[in-house]
Amino acid sequence: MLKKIILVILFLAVYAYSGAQNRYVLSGNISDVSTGEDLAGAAIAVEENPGTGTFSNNYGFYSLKLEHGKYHVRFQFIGYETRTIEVDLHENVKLDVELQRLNYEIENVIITGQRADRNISSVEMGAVQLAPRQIESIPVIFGEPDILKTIQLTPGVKPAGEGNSGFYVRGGGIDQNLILLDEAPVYSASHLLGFFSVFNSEALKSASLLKGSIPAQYGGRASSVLDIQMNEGNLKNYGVSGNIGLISSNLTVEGPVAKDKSSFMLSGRRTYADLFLNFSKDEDIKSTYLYFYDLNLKTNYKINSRNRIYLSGYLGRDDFGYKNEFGFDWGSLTGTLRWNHIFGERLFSNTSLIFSNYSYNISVLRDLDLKISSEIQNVNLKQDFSFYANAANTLKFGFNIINHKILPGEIAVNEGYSYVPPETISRRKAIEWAGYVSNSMRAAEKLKLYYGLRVALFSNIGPGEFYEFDENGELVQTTEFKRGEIYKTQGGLEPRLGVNFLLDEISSVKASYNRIYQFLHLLTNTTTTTPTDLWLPSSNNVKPQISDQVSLGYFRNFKNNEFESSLEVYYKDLQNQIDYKNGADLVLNSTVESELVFGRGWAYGAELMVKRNNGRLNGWLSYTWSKTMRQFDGINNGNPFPARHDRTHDVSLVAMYDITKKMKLSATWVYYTGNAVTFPSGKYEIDGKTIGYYTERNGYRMPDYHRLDLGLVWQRRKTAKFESSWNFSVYNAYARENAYFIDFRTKEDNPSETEAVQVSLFKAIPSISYRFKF
Amino acid sequence: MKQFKSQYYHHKSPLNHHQSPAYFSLLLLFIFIGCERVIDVDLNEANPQIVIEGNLSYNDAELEVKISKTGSYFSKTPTEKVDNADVYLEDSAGTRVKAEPSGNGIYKIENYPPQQEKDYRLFIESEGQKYEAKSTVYPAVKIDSLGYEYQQDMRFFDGGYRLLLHFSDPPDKENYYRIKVFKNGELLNGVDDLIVFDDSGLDGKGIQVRLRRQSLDVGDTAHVQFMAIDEKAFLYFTTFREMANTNPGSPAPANPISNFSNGALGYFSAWSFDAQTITIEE
Repeated sequence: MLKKIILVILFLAVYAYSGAQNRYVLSGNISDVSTGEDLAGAAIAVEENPGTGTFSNNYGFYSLKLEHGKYHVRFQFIGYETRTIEVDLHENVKLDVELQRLNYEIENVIITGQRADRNISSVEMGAVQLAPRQIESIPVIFGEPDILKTIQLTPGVKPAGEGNSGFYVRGGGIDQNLILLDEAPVYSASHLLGFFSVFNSEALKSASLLKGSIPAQYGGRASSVLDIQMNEGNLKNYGVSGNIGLISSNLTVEGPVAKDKSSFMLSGRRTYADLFLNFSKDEDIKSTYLYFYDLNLKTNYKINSRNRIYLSGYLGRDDFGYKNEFGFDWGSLTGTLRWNHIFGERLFSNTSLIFSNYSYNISVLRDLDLKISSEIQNVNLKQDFSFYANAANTLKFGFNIINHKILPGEIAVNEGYSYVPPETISRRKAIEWAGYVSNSMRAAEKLKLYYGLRVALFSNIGPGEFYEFDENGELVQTTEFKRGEIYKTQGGLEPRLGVNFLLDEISSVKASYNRIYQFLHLLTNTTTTTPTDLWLPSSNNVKPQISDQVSLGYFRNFKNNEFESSLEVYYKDLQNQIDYKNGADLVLNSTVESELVFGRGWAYGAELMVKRNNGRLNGWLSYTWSKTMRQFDGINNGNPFPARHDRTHDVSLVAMYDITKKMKLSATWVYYTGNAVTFPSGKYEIDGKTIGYYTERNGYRMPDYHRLDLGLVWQRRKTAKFESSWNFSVYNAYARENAYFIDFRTKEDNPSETEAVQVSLFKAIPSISYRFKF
Repeated sequence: MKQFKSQYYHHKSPLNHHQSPAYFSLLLLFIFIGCERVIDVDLNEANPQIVIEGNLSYNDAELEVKISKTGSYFSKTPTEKVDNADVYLEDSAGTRVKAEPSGNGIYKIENYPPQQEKDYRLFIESEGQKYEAKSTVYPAVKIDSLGYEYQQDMRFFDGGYRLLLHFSDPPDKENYYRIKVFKNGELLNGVDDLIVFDDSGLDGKGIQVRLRRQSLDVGDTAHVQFMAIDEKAFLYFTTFREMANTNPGSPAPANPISNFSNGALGYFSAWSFDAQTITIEE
């Protein structure tokens, strides 16, 4: 028996060895030749083996296992010149490739995709990749390019409303989007109540929005992932660039700390809208102050060819108030420390230690010195491995542990006043743990599969108080838990599946299925989100949200990849959705869990996108038809009703036209049918006051919304040493008064009659800014 | 333990949810950016629903019931009053008294002193439908003192005198209060004048309530009724106030939570009050 076993082992060893003997690994790093920035998602293809290939990962690393021989290996990346390199593979080869950025030439702008046909060939679906260069010329409010506003122009993504950076993806709520800045979660992605996002595009390298197939390394939010990477900083030369605008300005400084080994990037932005308010004749406006600032920092160090560390951080704050009566400030601080290590030729490891803090403070009637503070903080340890097993299989696995600390509301009062110190809402602590494993596999020449499994768990831990309620919402028991005691663990398995079937060279069919758990919930009772909305962790009273999504898509390119088009359909089922009892008190309520009601949601829709990448006139058209419903036993008599953000039709048209070599015109037109709202269906008198009679929830629609934004970029100087350009833009060029809110009230001059009044926020807003770069 | 200057605690009125911080910030926004326009909105006409307001006053020894119906939202005529309903008040012993219609949808029972701490049931029958609600009379809580102080002109509040009401909350009981202010003999009756609160967090303490939205000048006389109401009435008026103050920082509006059965809108509230008058002097 023993002899047989030894023989089998020997046989396998010889087999494996002989197999190994003939296959070698080509690996290395892809970067920009002038700045040294890593290029993530660059396509590597082998001409002799069509259909074999890979993409560089988030850090520019690639690895490809091939049979020994001579190959022509092609390296491609959007906006860069393609390079083909001859490789003689008879041992493992380390090949670092630097690519040259394409000059901004009008006639032959060939913005090839990461791989020209990436949309056809990759398994991902429902993903939108954006490079800041693409975003720069899209006009947005106040002339600032804005990643968040730009993704709202793609199908399936709906803006939360005028002046609001929040968004809804495929029927999911505003809190169902995982926004990551260098892996750190960002809880409030907007400044100035939503007019600007917190992302300074000068500091960003890339952004991708995943809304269909979400790979197993991501989790925690039910509808989408917006993964944003900061620039590392130019490894070769110093550079200063900036943008001086009407409302805000920014400045970015970057450069090498040690040439080719270490670099830094520092970018700051500040608004001075409050300086303009000083010019107002109105006393009230003069005494109002509002400003925000943000700072992005990144630095990295290449220890050797196998080790690299990165440190990145973000600090941003908004401050808004009136004299000494009222003040409101909020903001985030994030920090990420990462270590990349390459084991052998095929195993890439990334270890990250992440810190994220979001907090806000409200001072009401400052002469009474009342201050309300709230905070959510995480510390996160994350380990990711990518194993490039062979040309047909890329395995990824890892784990993620997050320590959450939430302080829903704490009141501080000045000692000098006889004020009741209301109870401090106790801190909530929890640990979120996840582990995953996945494989991207080329199953056959025309078939790619992605399959993965993530385990996601959430444990409430002490110290803290946990509550139990009866069916009437009355508190029946309060249990106190000591430090480190685990109170409740919930969660489960999240399968992630994807299939890509290549019909021919220019078209493919894709399908995907995901399940995702969400353990933190944003309690927003209002029609718009505000920075004071409360993050609530799952507990014995609040189950995690679970989303199950299937999607199917058909992708086709035309005219040699000049046009991309796609049609995707999806269906999403949401469990354990949260809504509120009538008259719910969410502010500073330690037993807020008793004010919640739970139910289900479902959403489905079709998204159509046609995009032209090349040529003088390029851009895209996106159209989404969708429906998203909710059903709660305690609301609307238990009948299903449309979710507030249910909008049937949503159109975005983005067009960019190169008038001359130096002038580029861009236009954005958005149109969407209105949100579902609750309007009165009658009126009556109570206690001498006239009020509305409400029947079905969200039974009406806001008026249609549409708007045109125009922008013009005029390049003044462009030399190797200095670039400058002027940007003119108009938001809402035809000054349509889009309804922000409709108020039903009694007439001021005649209280026995009622009227409906529409409030709109913006008419046409022009803006000028000057951009420079050394 | 913190030392407090006076024996009275400020009521936590700044934190009422209908005046949530979000409301302030959004208000600020509208003030200098928004533009308003009256528009036409096509509203569905719901079937008229019955509306019942029942007030049983201990001090006045009287029941007053107003019955009307909902009407079309933009109608210029007052809503329809219901004059032919049967209205009965039943005490905890089961004795029923009929309320006489006095026209215009109003029904009264006079000279009816209710007993404290007892349940009363109001029965309405109209057009074949029956509606019922229950309320309890609680003893009035005495006003310890009524005062005023001057407030500077602020963005959200006018300059002027504000009333200060001091009382001692009965301990170990859930108390619900409503305050009505009569300025120079006339009841202030806007949505901002609907003042209701409870004693949560302040049980058994001496409490000072500052009426922030009622502004008075020198020479004005304020007559303040400090009413004790029950839990259901408190719930009705707080949800009423929330819904009447709808702005973008509000939740989706819904009908206030009524204590009537069978879908009637409105409330039945039994109450008693203590009153004091004060004149603002230089």
